[in-house]
Amino acid sequence: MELVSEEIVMPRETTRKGQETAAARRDGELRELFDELAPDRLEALDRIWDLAADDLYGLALWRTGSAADAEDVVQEVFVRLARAAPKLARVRKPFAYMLSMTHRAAVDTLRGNRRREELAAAPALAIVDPELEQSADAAKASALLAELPPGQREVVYLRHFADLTFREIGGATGVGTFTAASRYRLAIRRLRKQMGVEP
Amino acid sequence: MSRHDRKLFTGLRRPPAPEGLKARALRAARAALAETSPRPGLAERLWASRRLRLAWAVAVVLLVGVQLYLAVPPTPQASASVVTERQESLDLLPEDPELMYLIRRYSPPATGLSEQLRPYRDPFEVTPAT
Repeated sequence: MELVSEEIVMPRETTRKGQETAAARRDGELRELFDELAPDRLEALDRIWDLAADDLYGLALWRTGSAADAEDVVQEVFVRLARAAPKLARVRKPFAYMLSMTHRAAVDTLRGNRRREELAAAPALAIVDPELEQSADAAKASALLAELPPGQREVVYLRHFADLTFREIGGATGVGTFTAASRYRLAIRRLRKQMGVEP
Repeated sequence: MSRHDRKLFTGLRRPPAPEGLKARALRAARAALAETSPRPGLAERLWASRRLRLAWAVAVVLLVGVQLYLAVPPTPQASASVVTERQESLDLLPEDPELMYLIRRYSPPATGLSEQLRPYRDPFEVTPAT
């Protein structure tokens, strides 16, 4: 519980505020694109892709643990998005909405393909920067991340790479805020222990 | 995220979406988008609003209620009061034919006054010459 309380009471940093502004700007752009999306306005899809595809692919990859499944998931998300076009103007938080769609599509994929639960080999969940001194640690962390349960891995991704709050993560993954925080805590505790990082 | 947590992920970057995926996904999305119905018009969007549907239903109920209220015939008590009022007029001015005619003309049949005052005609009515 130590980590959870630390996460909740920790004051937000300047960089975090800057990221919030960037996230709000991206949401604003996505909202306009959602409003424009129509059969005769296909260029909106391209811009939505440029703004969100990498995040969606990363989430799908971390959730499914398979690059092939992640590609199918992202494609399915864009198809679902197109089908929902007439209702998209009502979406208030487009980025969280798309992450939620990705989560559901990934869960559907995992349900239909149970063998992916057991990862035969560590997939490329993250790119390791070989220039860094800590690249060996990063490679180890990447391998350990692959061993986490998909639910925990997903929360770590959304928290660390998509920079969502636990409340937003809960909304995107369909669980409560404290469940999301708890999954994160369990994942980080396990990673710290295996990496030998002191709390 | 704490400093220690960041340390765990130092040197890790999120993998980008594969190159060929964009073309494939957008092709499928465009096909799906073409199948969707065109953008709904103003009337459909208004109909899609729950609040506006509720407001419309309330307005209809109110209009029907007012219409029913106005269409209901006078109650027997009201008829009695009308009869009393007009009978008083008759008693006060029994010789005024115009008043008799007006009371007959504007009294509902249920009051019986129209029948009672049947002989009184419009004094200003022009009758064709015979």
